[in-house]
Amino acid sequence: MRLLLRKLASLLTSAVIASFVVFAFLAVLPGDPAEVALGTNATPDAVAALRHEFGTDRPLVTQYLDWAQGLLHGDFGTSYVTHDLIGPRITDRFGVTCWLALGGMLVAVLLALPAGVLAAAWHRKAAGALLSALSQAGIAIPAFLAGILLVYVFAVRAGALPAGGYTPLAEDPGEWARHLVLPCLSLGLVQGAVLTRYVRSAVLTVLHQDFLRTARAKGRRRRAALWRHGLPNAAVPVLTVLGLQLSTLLVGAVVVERVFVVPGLGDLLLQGVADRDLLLVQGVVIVLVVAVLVVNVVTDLLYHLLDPRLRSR
Amino acid sequence: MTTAPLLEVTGLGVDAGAVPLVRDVSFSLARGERLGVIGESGSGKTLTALALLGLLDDGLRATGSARLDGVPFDLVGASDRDLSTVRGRLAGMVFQEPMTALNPVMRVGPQIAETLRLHGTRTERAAARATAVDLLDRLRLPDPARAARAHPHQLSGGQRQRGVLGIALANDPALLICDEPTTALDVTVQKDIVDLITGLSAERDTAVLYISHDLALVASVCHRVLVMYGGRIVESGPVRQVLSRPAHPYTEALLAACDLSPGARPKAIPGTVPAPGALPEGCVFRDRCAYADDACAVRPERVADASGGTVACWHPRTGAAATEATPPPVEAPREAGRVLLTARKLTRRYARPRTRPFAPRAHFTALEEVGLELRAGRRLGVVGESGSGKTTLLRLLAGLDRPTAGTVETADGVGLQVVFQDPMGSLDPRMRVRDIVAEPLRGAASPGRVAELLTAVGLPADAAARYPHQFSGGQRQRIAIARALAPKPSVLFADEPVSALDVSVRAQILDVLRGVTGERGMGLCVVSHDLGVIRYLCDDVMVMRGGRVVERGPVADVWSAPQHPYTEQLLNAVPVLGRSFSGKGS
Amino acid sequence: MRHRATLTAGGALVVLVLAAALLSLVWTPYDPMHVDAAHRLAAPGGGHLLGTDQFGRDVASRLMTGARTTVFVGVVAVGFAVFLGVPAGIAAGMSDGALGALVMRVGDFLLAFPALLLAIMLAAVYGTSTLTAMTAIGIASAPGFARVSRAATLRVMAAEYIDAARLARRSRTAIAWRHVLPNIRDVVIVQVSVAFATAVLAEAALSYLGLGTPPPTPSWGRMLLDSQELLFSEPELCLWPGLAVAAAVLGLNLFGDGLRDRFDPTLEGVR
Repeated sequence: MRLLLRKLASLLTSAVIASFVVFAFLAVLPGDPAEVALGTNATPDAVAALRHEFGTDRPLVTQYLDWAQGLLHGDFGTSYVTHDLIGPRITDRFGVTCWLALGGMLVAVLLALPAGVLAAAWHRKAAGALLSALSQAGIAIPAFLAGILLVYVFAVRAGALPAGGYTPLAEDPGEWARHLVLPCLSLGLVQGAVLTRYVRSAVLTVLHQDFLRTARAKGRRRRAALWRHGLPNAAVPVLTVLGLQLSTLLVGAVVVERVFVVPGLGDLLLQGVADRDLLLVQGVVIVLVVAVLVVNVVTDLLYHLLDPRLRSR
Repeated sequence: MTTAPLLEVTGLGVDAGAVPLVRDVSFSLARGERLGVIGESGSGKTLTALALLGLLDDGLRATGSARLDGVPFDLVGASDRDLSTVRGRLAGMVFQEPMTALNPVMRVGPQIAETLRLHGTRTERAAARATAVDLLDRLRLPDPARAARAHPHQLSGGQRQRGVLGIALANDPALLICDEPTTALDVTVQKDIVDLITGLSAERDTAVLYISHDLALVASVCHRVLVMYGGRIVESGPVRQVLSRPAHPYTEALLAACDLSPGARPKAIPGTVPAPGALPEGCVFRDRCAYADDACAVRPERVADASGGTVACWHPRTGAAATEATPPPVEAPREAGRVLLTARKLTRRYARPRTRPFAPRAHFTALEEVGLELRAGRRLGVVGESGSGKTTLLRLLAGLDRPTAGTVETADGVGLQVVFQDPMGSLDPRMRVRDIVAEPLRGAASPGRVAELLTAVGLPADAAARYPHQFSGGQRQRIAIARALAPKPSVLFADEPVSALDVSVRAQILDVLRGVTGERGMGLCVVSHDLGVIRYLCDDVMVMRGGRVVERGPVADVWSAPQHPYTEQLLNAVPVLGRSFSGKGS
Repeated sequence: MRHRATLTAGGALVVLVLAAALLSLVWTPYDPMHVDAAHRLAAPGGGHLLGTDQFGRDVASRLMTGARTTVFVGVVAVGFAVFLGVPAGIAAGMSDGALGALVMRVGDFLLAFPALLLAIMLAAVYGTSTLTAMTAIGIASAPGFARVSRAATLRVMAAEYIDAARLARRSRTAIAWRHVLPNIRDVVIVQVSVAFATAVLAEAALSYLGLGTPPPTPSWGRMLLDSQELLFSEPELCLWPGLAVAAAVLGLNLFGDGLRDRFDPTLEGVR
């Protein structure tokens, strides 16, 4: 409980610092959004007027506090470019990206747990070496390339799945799933290859530990000792990696959304960059960063639950 | 009562690929008998034990035969499935490292209960847990119910080892294999564990295979003993016979090397323990043996000798003059010189992490108001168990740490140097020996000076150009001594200088330390858990416990008439060869 | 002995990519930016080893120049990360307390800003360029170096030879130079190879998104984006840049693994 409070406090500080960094980065360094919006031929008066409308003529501290205060109420401000409210657009897209990341995670875990454990258990055999080689190859393929290959195989050649696009879950669950399969696979296969390596390494480390020998000395057979005593211990380091990977997936989804033309946060973000819509970029970035921070804290808490050596302090 | 042996091992061997690690090990063990296996690191004693239960690492292969009474198959070469019915039921095993032998994410009780349920001794979960608590009680763990609920990291080393013993003994096995079960523990704890093992063995008629490098300990536990060297048994026999009148030159040399008793002078075995695969043809001990001749180029068979033992040697010692005591080196009587260093009321506290924000910090006191004086030409020993504060004291005296309170004063022009415990970790692996030795000289080193220092500690001058990993543990410790001597310190500190070394080279290092301090009128301060080392090396002793000094005085006085009960307990806990034999027949 | 095979295979791939990049400085079969409408989508073989793209540009020449972009971005980004991360890690490892904690907190915090996000922020502000890509990748890789060097430094500082150096009255700087740096060197070198592989992946992703090296300068990610439009009719155009990225990353990872095993034989096969 005390730990929970401490972690929440540290999450809060990190989030505040992050918001400050993001704001500083995007609002202090760049040129004037009003000038950008009006182009280079604008009259100074027009620029000043727009500046006033945007509120960028106010002191930076006021701007920041205003923005940050808005964030707390889910108000991300109004876009300088499209003049829409940014908040609803972000919430719309965030769900899509979450589905992608979670689907990718599911694929990665389902792939990596058996593959990693087997690669470790067979590390002296050809089958283990083959699994290791496959995971090496998988790591070397970026997710968007995997996406392109999957589109080629399943959409172009087999015609079994759509090459891109998205249908909301509420509209048609079947179509929703069909549209998510390939993006999730391309995210999950690559992350799964990375995770396989970590699982293998964690299991191999455990295989050489004394307590596993003790388990065998009490009459457990090799495989049973690994299951009952080895894997619970191997889970501890793997969990940390899982947390990091979920963060990677959230951000990695940005690229995969581009491959499959999925209207997620990434798509919105790139649109914002293309339009130089700084307030939009600012909003999406802070959402992603806070999501990553939350995932990290949750992982940390689970980690403490799993390892009694950390729990007791 | 059956006369058939419980365990019959014939021609056991272990290979790592083409390299033989263990060869031709044959012995038998009767019910209730306790058999010791003695050897230095690399002798193959642990591999032998692991091979018996099929617990060798992948990549190692066992050959030969091992039959356990009541088991229809040969233990060597049996399948994992078959062996798993033997392990934990008919044969239990206790390992060297209690800190890592238990599953860290599982409570201790369930780990013991698992053994009971696995072999059907108790099928109900609750009954198994209750039995586990009973077992911990029998192993004299205070508050066994609480210990059963604890995770391993919440227990001390000795408590954990009792947990491991509980797992091994849960199903009342006929055979208990102990691999250095107390090496990682303090002497007083060691005594408790050893007493437990011998007591339970006698009570339940459990046979024990007891592996150790400590001759005196084996003498106090076992009826019979096997001496291993280079992967082979070189001698066997009743423990009193073998350790008082050894027949094999190696046994004799080992006894001479570890004899730190008053009036004796330990004698190192020349050379180093060879790597497996680098053993000589013929007799494995040939190139380190004082009696070797041409006959030894042919491997001697192990043959029975007159006194009920066996020995593999062409020139067995008759034992008549086996332990001719070499008198200790004659030293000019050393006068206590000027005071080099004075410590007053040294206290060191460490802050514990806050348990909640803004709570006052809790402190742990590692050392409390310790004072001492080091004089030129005197050797002070500081002895204590883990947690006694002895290492903290040394670091404060040497200026490697700052005291929370109290002062350390050195006389004018007094330099301090330290010889550390771990000869692997105390030399920078990326530096050549000459740079290591010259480090304290800071550019003032000439090649001649380095060579001179290396010679002083008994190393060849060509060692200067090599890297630390090219030396054995004993040689590395010599390099560390040479470095410490380089700036001509007035006081030399030594932190457990020989505890990481094999018995056969310990004596050399002790003699080097004794020699350099004697010649130069230096003050020496040695910290050790090993009473024998202090007894051998020092003039005065300080006994520490829980950060305080409980007793101090001249070595001879403290040994003959300890004043503090803890000192007495400590002295009694140490197994001593001569004393061990008494009160136990074979 | 397995590390030798890994090291050789990885080294060969790395050398291949490096050689292509270096060669492209002085020679490519064709001008990689030359648009030739008459030879659009030429098949491999014939005048063009790997064929031409939809603008008639020679694929092999573009791959070679793309390798140059990749190597350039990787070297600068990783160099920047080493320069930033290693001293921070050593300082954190040698000072017990506040500084160490601070460096680690900053590192953890930076983990929430992966290369991609940083690059997007930079691109939003400064527009897309090779420089923003390099800076983003460099900043994002620095915490890895800080973490690895701090862990290695802590191990070194716990060794007794550091105590011996302190007894020899060596200054902190001298200890860092004489003892810490030589002993953490291996770990840093392995991390360089890991970070380089990550940088190649990130660069490809960024230029695929149009946030990296702007056209017409060839880059592997951009080639993949261009070829994706033709996936239905000319799928093999994807193959070449895809293979190039995979080969470079695979080579660097294998090389890193081989080095790790070679430096620390006890770890062989563990990772």
